[in-house]
Amino acid sequence: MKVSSEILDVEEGVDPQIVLANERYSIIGEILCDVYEPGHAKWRWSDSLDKVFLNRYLGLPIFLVIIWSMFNFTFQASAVFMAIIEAIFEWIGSYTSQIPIPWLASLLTDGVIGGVGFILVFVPPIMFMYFAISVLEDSGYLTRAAFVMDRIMVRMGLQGRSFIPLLLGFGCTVPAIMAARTVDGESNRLTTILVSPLMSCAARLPVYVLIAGVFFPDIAGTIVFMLYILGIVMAVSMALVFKRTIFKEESTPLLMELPMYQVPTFHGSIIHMWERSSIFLKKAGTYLLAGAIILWFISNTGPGGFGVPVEESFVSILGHFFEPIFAPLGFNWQIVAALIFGLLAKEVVVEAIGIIYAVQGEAALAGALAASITPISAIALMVFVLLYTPCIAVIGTIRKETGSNKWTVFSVAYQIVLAYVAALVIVVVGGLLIG
Amino acid sequence: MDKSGGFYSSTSADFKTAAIFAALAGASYGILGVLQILVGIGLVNPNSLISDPLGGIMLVVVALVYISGVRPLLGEDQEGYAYLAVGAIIGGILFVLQLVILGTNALGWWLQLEDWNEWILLGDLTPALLLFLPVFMVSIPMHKEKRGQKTKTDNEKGDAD
Repeated sequence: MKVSSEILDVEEGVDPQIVLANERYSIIGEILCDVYEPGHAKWRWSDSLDKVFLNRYLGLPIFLVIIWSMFNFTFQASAVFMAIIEAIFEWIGSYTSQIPIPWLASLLTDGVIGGVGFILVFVPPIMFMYFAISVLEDSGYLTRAAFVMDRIMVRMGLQGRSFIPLLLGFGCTVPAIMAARTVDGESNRLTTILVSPLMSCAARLPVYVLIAGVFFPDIAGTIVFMLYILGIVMAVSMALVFKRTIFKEESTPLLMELPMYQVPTFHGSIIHMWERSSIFLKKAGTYLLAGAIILWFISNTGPGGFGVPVEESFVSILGHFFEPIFAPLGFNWQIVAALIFGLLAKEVVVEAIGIIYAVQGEAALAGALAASITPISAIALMVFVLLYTPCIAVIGTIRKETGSNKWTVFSVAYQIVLAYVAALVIVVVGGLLIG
Repeated sequence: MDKSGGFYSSTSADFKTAAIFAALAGASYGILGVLQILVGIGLVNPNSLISDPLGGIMLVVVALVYISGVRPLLGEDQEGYAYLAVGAIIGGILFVLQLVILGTNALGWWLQLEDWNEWILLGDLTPALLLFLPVFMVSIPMHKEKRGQKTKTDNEKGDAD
């Protein structure tokens, strides 16, 4: 589409993006006049609701209310189901621990139940979150969320279209990075790929649920909500930094067809929830099970052979080696080892914590965690998990989508540095405030 | 003045009623939201019912949506009803959220799970839950009545054509 420079000159002071969007709509209008016979004017609820949902001032607060409700629903409503699953695994564990062959009893109780069983406790919040996302998608609101954010992003010189892949990042970072293909312009696409991992994916949810539940039980839902908002803020901020430094390209206006609002069906949302949750369950039954067995093995094996205490295991050696780097954040070697294994997949962080602490059930683990880190370090830990490299699959996808080792290494490095600096700021500021 | 071109068959009196309703609903959500924030940050005596400051902010947002609808409704603009609808939707989301939390907590208590031993119903009766019910009770009959009038007017117009 060619827009004369006169338009931009005449409307000096007006955002050129708005002028361009208006021109586009004007051309669309002209084409419609030629090909479409208008009927009686209809006052439609969907259009009217958009006046409010996409309102310049109310749009963002409404978006925050909806997202806050989603995370409170995810955490608080699933708590009882988590307790039920935990009780079932504790019951199974009480039998497996009595197996007369010690290594088999340890493998099943500490490895399989302590690892995979513990991660399965977090299936309800993941299912609840996917259910909430499905409801938002099916109602037509999620598309509007991209529009609500578009206004803010365009003002910051970014492309609103980038927010759509970022929204997908709430589920999984891999499809979010792949969806960056829809973003116009090479630098816009790269920016989207680089900031997508900062959006909190479902795999990080178990870590938040565990830590927030242990240290901040009364406001756990709010803490999880704040982490997701922090993820959005960091993604937008880093995109802005990239656009102002390494990538400089004009952003293009967001022109998107908005679907009509509709009442989501319970049946449809359940199907969507199941489709997504089953992926997590398959992962738990395959990769996470294998990971739990390997983790159990190396946390029971050390230079002294098999069956050594965890403090003398290879996991301990690894954790102690990197512990000094994380000492300013208040993380002990157990947490450090869990974070290193978390590079494979974020669910492994919780799995590793369960295996390394070698305690049965969330209540016992809660006691062990509360004794080993402070509440401020707990917040720093959640922020670190939010911001550091999500998983090995994401690294592979970034390599594939960028076709560049340089950008892949840069992505991993900047995320780890950003996570460390953000966690350190929390510890320092928190320390100053609390004293 | 009949504004029947819209979703509702509305006269000036209807718009005025809707505006008063929006103002009252907005004021109710706003007052309890601010109170919840003040309790949450410790400026007012603690009350277990309304101790979540962020939850209070959410109520204030619902209030803002309702109050934003007052002006277009007083100006007899059909789109003012959209503010009422969105206020009801997000107020309804907060209501359903609290209702689900109440239900799952009751389940935990019924199953005698350890963390739910001390759960009491009163603890889950938050303003988000209590406020929505009267707003809903007023708005639904109002909505049905107006839709009925609109359908009747449309049918009469159809017959005349």
